[in-house]
Amino acid sequence: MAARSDRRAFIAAAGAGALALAVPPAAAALDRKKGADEPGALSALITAELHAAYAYERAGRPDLARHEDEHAKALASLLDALGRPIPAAPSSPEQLGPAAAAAAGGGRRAAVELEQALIDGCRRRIADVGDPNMVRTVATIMAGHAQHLVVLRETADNEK
Amino acid sequence: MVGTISRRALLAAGAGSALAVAACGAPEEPPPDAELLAPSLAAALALAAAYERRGDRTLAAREREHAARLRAAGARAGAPAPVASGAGAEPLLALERAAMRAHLDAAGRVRDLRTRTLAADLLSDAAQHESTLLARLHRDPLPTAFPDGREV
Repeated sequence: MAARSDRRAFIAAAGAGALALAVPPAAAALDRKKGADEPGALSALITAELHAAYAYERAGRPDLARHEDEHAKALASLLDALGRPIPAAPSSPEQLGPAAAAAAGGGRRAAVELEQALIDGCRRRIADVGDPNMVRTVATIMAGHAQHLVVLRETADNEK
Repeated sequence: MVGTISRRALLAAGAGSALAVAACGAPEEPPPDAELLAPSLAAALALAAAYERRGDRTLAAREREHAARLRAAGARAGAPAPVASGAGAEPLLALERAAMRAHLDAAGRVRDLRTRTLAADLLSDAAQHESTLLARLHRDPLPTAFPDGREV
């Protein structure tokens, strides 16, 4: 429980840190006009990353959980720069979406499906952000999930 | 423990975000998408040739497919190709990372949303090849949460 509270506090603080260090004109430079729904896209992606981090933590995959946490943190900084609230991290398994709930059980196939769902989410949402820095952040997060996917698949193949 | 975050890490995260945001600066009009995709095409062709030379027909075909998708999206030919020499997987890793940097740059700057998705797809594909090559080299296949083609 303490770990989950820490994660929420960390993500909120990371956003606050970005605001404190990046002066308002920098945030104002974000090119919001091009993005169809930047806050909506960022919120959805943060929620997905937080759920994945929670799932991997329960599944005993701290390496993947740490990456998902870092993704959530980076996205939270961007959302905070837009002046929007940061979604809360899940506090119980019952709050997880279907893919994350399945992955929390520790199965490799479920983890593969979770990573594919995260890739699909990034791919869908990348059209909803307009600022080049946001686009690149979402693109590198998508690439990170693609790497998780190939490593999980190769590990599964080796276990056959 | 994933949730335990040090003050140092927090400050680093905040500073990184701040730099990323501040780096935006005043928006400039980017070149046409065809120009922005040109380095991606050159990288894909260089990788196809490199994998072909090493007898990896699967990845060579994959890179030729990337090149075809880039041409279909209007990528201009003739950009300088990345170069990497040597034996083994290291030069391939260097070429994949050059491709990743090209795809990422294009993703952030192209105007057309389908082209943006294409660049993100190609970045993901190249990132997977990077992981595979790192594993072949007995190195961590997941060295960073944000694979962007830079040395980690």
